[in-house]
Amino acid sequence: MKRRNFMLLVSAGVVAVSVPFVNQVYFDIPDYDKESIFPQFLSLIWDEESISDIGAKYAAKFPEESRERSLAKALFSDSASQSKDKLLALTQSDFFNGNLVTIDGWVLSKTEARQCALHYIMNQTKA
Amino acid sequence: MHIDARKLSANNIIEGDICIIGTGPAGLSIALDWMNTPYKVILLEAGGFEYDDSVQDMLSGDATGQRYFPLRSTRLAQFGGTSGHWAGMCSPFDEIDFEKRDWVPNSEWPISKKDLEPYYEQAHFPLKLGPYNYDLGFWQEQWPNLNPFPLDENVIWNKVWQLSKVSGWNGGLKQAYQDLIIKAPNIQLYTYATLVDIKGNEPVNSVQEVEINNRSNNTLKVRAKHYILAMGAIQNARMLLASNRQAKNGLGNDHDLVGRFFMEHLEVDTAEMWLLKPFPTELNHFNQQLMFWNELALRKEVLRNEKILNGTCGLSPTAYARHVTPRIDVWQNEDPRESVDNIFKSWDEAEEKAKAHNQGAIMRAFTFQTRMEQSPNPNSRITLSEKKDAFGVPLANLNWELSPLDKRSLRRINQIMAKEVGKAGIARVKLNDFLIDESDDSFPKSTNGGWHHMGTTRMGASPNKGVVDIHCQVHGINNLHVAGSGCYVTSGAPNPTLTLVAFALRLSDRIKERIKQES
Repeated sequence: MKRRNFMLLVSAGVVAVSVPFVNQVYFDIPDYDKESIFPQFLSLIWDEESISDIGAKYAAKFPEESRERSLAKALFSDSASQSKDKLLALTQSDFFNGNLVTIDGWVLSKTEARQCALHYIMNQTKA
Repeated sequence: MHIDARKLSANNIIEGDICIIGTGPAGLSIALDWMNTPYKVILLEAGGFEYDDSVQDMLSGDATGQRYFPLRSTRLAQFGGTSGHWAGMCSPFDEIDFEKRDWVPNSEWPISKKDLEPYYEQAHFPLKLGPYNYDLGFWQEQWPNLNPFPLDENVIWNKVWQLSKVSGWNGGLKQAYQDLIIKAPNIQLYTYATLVDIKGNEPVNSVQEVEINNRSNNTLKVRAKHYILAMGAIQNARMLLASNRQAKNGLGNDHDLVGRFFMEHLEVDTAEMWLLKPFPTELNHFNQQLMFWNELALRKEVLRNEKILNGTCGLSPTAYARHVTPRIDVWQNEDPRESVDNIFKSWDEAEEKAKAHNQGAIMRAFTFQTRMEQSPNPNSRITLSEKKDAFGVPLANLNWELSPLDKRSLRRINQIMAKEVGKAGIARVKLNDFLIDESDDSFPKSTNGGWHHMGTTRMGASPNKGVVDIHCQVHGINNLHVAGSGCYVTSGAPNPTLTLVAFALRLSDRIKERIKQES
């Protein structure tokens, strides 16, 4: 291997290893399963577009929660690997505890509203 | 016996033991209760057995404040009264409806539900209802699939309605009782006999006679031991106010209470409940076979904690409800027959449009129609108009006024329902736009009433608290009584007819006792 190619490979490796690390340490974004952010209950009555739309409205209503970092921290701060089941349980407990938010008239658990917002932001990033 | 008053000559004096003015649910229930007694009953009806446009004119009036239906078409001036329009929905008031609630101004009843309980059961007879049982468990034994949603029973309960067999769909009380009343030997029914004045003795502590016009330009007099005004909450107040020859402010109005505290039931689409999964139940459908209906209600402890008014949520499929034009928009014709036609037409159109929805989550979405009491408000009132009817009696004007407590209660009821169905993991709720802004106390123009007129001659333990006493006698006038929902201090959430008939039968008992004592 030529010295130049070797250096490129090493650099790419460093970047690959350090991005999650930088995310976690520098940007302080918890590591989470991207699949888990889709709000399970709401997906029974809404399509993906509606979920994104509510997510956008949540982010607009709460600008301090309009970035991946703040939403992921709010949703996944307890554990580095929150499961779908755990989010469902959190959603339920929000209704018991009155941790609710009204977005566009919908009375939602704060957890599922944040999931919508995170879903919206991740879709924006992809686009 | 039936007498067409139009055929009577002037200065006729009609005499009897009691004179009932009005043949709606209150008046007819009392008349039926006096059938086959040794007492002579004079029963007066302004109209005839059929609708008559010229008679209906006396119900005209202007409305200010919160938008309302045309007064002329909200009632019927004919034998059977407004039961000809009645949907037949019956459910008793709750205990809390009779309690003084410190968060509801002017909510103090001088009686409790226990005082009325025996008469609720009796009221089932004239209204042709099923057994006096409003427990869901009882009805579940009659019908297998009345499954309630799995909601927290400490917060929500299922309030049962029964549907009367003498509703407007079946011709109202006219169809059921016209022949019976005509054949009753001790009842003299006068049709086309319109009350125009109530005359007292001096110093107006007793009624001497009432004057009626027979629509043939003749004035007749009716003399009785007791007089019962049973013309509906608006007309009763109107005639007390208009009988002002001896008392400047009208009869029973020394404390300026007659006509005040007009209440309606708010019957408004407030939210959509989207079930996450199908939930098999027939609990929330109109059950025509069982004559049964059910709505979600809040426990009294919740109402107390939240300091809100009493209200219930009925469920209507959203695929249909979204296409229903608010009744207040449809029922705007002065002619009640036209307004009825318009409302049926709008329902048919909504049903047709609903067919476009045949799949997806909307098929398990239900619209909450919240049915709620209005807080008693002295500025919500009936007054006399400068306009007069054919006999020179001033017409009634209505100022319907709602309050911030009404709006807050409507919002909270739906927010609590939203929380509870979320807790149960069965649904999510979307509030309608007019409930979202918590700082907005106003009501949209599309706000429906239930055509329920209540509270204009409210009950009070003393004359400065109410127009009538605990027995529905006008304070200070010992033989003048008021039957009907005008006597309500608060309006409860359920439709008023069952309760007003119970009150009428209670009054009937009281007058029987009085007449026995007096003779």
